[in-house]
Amino acid sequence: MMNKKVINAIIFCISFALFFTVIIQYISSKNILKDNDYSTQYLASLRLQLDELEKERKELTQSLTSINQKLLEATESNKEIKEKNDVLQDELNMYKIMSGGYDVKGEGLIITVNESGSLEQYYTFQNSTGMILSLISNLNSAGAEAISINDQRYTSYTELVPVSNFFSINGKHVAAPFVIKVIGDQRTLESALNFPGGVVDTLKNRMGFTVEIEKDANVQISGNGKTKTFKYLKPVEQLVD
Amino acid sequence: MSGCVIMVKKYVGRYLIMLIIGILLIMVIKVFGMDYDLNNLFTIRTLDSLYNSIQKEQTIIEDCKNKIIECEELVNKTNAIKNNNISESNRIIQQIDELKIICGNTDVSGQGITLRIADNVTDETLSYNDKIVHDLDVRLIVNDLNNLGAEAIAINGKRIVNTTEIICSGPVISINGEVVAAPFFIKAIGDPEKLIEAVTSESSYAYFIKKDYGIDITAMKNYIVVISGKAKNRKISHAMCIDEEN
Repeated sequence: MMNKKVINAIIFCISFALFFTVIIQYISSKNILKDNDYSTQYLASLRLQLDELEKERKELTQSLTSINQKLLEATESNKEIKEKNDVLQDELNMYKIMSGGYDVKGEGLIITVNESGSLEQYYTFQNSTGMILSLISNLNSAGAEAISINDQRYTSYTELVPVSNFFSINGKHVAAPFVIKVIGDQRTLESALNFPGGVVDTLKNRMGFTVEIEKDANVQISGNGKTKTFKYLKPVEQLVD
Repeated sequence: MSGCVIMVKKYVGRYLIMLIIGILLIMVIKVFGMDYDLNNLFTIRTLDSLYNSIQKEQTIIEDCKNKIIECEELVNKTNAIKNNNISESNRIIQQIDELKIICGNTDVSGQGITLRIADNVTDETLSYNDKIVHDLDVRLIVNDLNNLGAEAIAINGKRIVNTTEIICSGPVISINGEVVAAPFFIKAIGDPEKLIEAVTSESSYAYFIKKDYGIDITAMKNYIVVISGKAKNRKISHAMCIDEEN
């Protein structure tokens, strides 16, 4: 009889525990689901939302890839243009020097031609302009990159003509003696000048001038002003317009 | 048979109680709407996973959007810099084009004159040296043309630039490293009325050698003179610009 009672009690307790567990689970799930209608309809709508978000994410990822590509291309093309500009700048510098309009410096010579005042002075400066021009031509044939006479930049437009007691160079009046500065390879320039029977030989020994040639590692030659206006000359393309 | 009846009689009370309890339970469940759906358990798991997935996607989307904005800003900045660089390119190219004209690297045209200078072939009394055209003569005539405002000069097609040499090389003259021979055709662009004085003016060098040495010089005014540019310039390896510090 005792056993029976115990068995009954045990069965009752187990049943009660089971029942209790069911109730707890139910209440828990009710708390989680919170009175909402979690029908399959709602789940379906959530799934739909997820699908749409996935689609949006894929599109955005593609956009991001394409804009990254755009950035790469823009950076590359910018780099190319920058490199081209560096090359162009070098070219511009070269033309600046060639034009004669800009101050320049470099290794070269300073040549001073003066009347010796001696009895062997057979020529005066007034009738020696041809010789000075010859000197300049020789410097050019020896690779001169820039030349000035008494600080007047020598260009293809330069004239050297006697005017009363002075000389007109680039429209400015200068006086003798002539100081000619030249930038280029010192050895080649000097060699061309001192050639036997050459310009310096003629100036010294046949015309009676003194010629001093000084090597200078930093010859400075001024430009003749950067603008030049042409009144008659036109580039040929303009004719076609 | 009686054994069964006895059993039923014994337990009927308990059965009834259990039945009543069962019915009560069902009534309670129905009254309080406590529909216990097994599916709810799976729903929670599904919901949980769905909510997680949605959250993840939203985070990725937000991140993507931010990155796209950042990237777009960078692209705009880069393009702005690129446009500046392109303007700089154009500015430099324009400067180069202007300097090329001054340097004598472009083909040019305009009013001017043409000179023809040739050796004196007729006079037998003069020495050979006196009859021929020397580099000095060409240089001095070019000098006179410059003095009269020549804006471009070419000798036998060779453009005169800053680095041009005019040097005798035996029977020929070397100009820009190339040889030219008599007769020398000098083209010059400028005011034809002024330029012609290089030959007609009594103080000009050409007049002097024509008169005293019989050098054959003829000149002609032209409405259009075309002078080609010098193709390549001398390589600059010693000179450099002194940058303005202004």
